[in-house]
Amino acid sequence: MLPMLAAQAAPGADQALVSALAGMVGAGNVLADFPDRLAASRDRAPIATFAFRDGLVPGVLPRAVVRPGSREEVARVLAWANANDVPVIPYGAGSGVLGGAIPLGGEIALDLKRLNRLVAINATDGLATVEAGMNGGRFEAAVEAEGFTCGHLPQSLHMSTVGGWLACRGAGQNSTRYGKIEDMVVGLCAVLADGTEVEVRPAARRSTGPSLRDVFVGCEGTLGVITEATLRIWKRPEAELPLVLSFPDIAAGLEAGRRILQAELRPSVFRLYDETETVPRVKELADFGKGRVLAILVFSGIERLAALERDLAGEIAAALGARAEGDAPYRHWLAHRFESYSPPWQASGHFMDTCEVTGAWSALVEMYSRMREAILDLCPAAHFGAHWSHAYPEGACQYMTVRLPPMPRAEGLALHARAWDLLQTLTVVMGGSIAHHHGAGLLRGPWMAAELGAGGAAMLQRIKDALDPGNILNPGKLGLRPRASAARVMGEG
Amino acid sequence: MAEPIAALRFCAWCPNLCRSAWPESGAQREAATPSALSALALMLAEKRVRPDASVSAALGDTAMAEACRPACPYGYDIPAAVAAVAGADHAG
Repeated sequence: MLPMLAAQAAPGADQALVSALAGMVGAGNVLADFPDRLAASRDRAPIATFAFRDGLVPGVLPRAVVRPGSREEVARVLAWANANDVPVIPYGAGSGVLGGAIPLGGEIALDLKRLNRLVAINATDGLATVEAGMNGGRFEAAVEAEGFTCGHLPQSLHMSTVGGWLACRGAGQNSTRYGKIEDMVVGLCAVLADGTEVEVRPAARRSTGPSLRDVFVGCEGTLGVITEATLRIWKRPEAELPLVLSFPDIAAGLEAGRRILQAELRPSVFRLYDETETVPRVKELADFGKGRVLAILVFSGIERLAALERDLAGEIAAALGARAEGDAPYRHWLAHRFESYSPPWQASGHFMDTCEVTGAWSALVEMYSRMREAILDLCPAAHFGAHWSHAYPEGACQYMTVRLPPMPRAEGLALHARAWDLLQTLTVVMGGSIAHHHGAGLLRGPWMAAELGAGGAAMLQRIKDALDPGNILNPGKLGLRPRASAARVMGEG
Repeated sequence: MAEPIAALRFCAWCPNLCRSAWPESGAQREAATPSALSALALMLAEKRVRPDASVSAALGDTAMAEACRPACPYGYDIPAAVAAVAGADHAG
């Protein structure tokens, strides 16, 4: 990691590179000044924040920020970069939390936010075609104005781009009903490393070999750059009916979740909080039983159907000791669902991070207990809280917040790295997936082989080598081979 | 200066929750987002970056931060905080 002063003093972008890029996208769309390069040197990975707040660049500065305004310009830039061995990082709104957008050596940042048009809404087929750089909140507002919702409503809705949703294979808070992003993508356009344009034409389904769409959805810019997507959209629900419950413990809450999902009920929202995360959410409920845990479910759609689903879920939960509670926690969640809890903690020197994993219903209670115990053994002063959301018939996402108290940088980074290792290793040991919806980026690279298996990791590398033999597309991410000049970001004090 | 610095320190680590207040018709320059501006101003105030021409120009471009100000869920006035730092004497 380089001190910002040193990065600022280092020679800037070379003029030949700037001139070449300006010829493709226009001089005003090649930004090579220090502030522009500094802004594109980080995403929202806490490891980047830990570096920034100490005046350090997390990896290196990108050589320049390039802002193409069309699919053709993206293709032109990539073809040129490939021919000239210049690595490229696609950059949306930089809201990723795993370091997927952190430059490691010699990259240009390909800022896609000029590709920000809603191309078309097909109300008959329920489809919206949108360019990759459109802001998520503005996309949702645009489809809402036509009587639809995109159904993909992550906490990062207003601070992310549609392309970013696809790139990291994200999930929104209403995913239990509407699906994850991969369930919504019906077609897309992408550009390969050599500038070849690929179009997966929108179709409800096809049976023509492996899905090319899935080469790009989740690739985090390592296999191609997504420029446009056609997404399934939904009629805005007639009703959204909350069901706020308390359970005697998390085991009862998780069992209720399993039974509800396996009964083929589809809440749009399913959120179960551990005791640590329950306490601040029930302050206004005077008679909320001590030690009980909170669950917020929402049922959406046609009002009669949503009401029936809500009532059936309530019956399933009641048989497991659930009690109906007031709506205040739901209203609070609704009002703050797109906000971030981390800024005050990061500003006060804490080492705060989140880690979301997938676990089977049969494993989640033990997974939670072992992870909680491991983190508190590692650092008794740490905050550890969890909730479960994004539920499936087979399991759920366990979303954990780990907050280490302020301490010297080297000590904090070492504990932070150890905490990640404990959580990711335990996930694999217990049969889960190391990443539910944040992607892998840079931070999860060390556990990708355990996640994919040796054969799977080798296969992914071979796909990468075939599509991008020069290794110019976001090198060193997803556990893939870095370039020889790559800077180290993790494991440095 | 304590109040502007506290605002910048909060906003610098915030993921630009206010970002969607900026109209799509104006291409977003990442360095002009409130959080990037705040980080740059904070680094300048802490003498972690030098006050060169590019830094001054970046800190003077507060159009996006102005547009986003009403959408800050925490109620910070980032353009004012940035201006306070940008207008201070950073010599020495």
